[in-house]
Amino acid sequence: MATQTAVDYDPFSHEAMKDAHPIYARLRASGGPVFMPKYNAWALARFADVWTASSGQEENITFTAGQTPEQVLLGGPVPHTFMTMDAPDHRKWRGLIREEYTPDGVKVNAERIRKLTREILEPLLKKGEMDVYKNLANRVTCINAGYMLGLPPQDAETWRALIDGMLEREEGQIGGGSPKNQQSFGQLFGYFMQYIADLRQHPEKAKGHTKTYMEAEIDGRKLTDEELAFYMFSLLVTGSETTPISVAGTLYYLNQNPAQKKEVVANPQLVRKAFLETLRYDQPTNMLARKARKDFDLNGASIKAGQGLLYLYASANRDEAEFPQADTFNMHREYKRDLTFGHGGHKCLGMHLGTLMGCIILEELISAIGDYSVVENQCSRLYGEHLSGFGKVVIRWNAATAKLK
Amino acid sequence: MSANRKWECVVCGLIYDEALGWPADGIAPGTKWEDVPESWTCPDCGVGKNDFVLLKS
Repeated sequence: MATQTAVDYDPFSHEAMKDAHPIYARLRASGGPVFMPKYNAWALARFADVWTASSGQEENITFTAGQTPEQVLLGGPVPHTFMTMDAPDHRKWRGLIREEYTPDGVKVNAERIRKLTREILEPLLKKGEMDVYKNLANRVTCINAGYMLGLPPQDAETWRALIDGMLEREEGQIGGGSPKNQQSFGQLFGYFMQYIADLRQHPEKAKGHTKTYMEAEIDGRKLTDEELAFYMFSLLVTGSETTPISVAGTLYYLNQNPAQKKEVVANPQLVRKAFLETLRYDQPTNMLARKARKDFDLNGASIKAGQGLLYLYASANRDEAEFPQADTFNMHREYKRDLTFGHGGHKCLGMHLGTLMGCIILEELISAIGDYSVVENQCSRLYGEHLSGFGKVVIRWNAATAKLK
Repeated sequence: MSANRKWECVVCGLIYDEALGWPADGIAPGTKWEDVPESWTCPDCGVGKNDFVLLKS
């Protein structure tokens, strides 16, 4: 049942951006959607509410107001891609690349991603220490995201730095408007606009999703340069940011759970269980936001047209009503449903590819190094309203015995 | 007897194979797509039957 007793929740507060789980527990305990008068929006923290609001709701909810809390709650600019379209346009534009992201479709990438992972990993092994996020996982995912777009891999380091700059938040910052955020966004977007200008002169150079979207014509309409740049920008960011957070997190949480770590070290095929449990336990896509386009009721809350909705996935995946002992990391837990990749028509396009990449990276790493330790005082979590998890996890291993298998 | 067909969810890639049905949802093996209840939703992502496409063999 909804309540307006206020659990004082502000997604842009220092408390929420540092570690929202304690406040998420309070939100869930309130029993239903919680209204945030400051933003004329509702926070959906319980699994059942997020699940219900995700599926069969395309008449009640619009995706066109954006998908980040900054876009929906603060009126931030909304890039126009399939991610911010309603059906049927959403299905048409997402459908152009969807076959590459099905369970079968992603398999063709496995060998290439494994080769890339091994190439990046091998020179790191003799060092005996690395920041898993920065030195390994984010490099793999960023280069892969670029590959899917047909972009040159040598530019991957530039994109990584700019994406990180765009998502960085200082304490007290509300939304992404800092000079560094804006400059990073501007540079990255400018890179794409320049790239597209060159492709318009030399269309034969276009590859991958860039080529697909450049050539697409739907309902008599082709994408403008700016729209194409937004597609490239969005697919690069979503294809590179969350997987490495969870790769780093998996290593951290396994280290905190020695019995499970021992199992995975002995049998690296178990990384999939550990990775998926990390995605549940410490969901990197903390939340997404939508807007109501009609009045509708949700678990006793009277949602009004025009009100924002925060889908707190990271909270929902820790709901004890759905996951017994939800706050325990247990890679062997079994469950029939989860919100790890969302639910409904906008369920994460990259879920199968992200899972494949995460598992390959972890498998290659753990197969090569065996047991490892985590340098706790060199681990740090992301600080921000939108993504959460580990942005830095430094591990150490025996360099003398480390070797690619 | 017409051959069994496969239908793919355009959102998550889940495949409904007519030969297998979806017993967990009470849909017996051999159930043709047309006979799957219209209220049935994708077990993975929750979208409706109209978001499935016939896979060409």
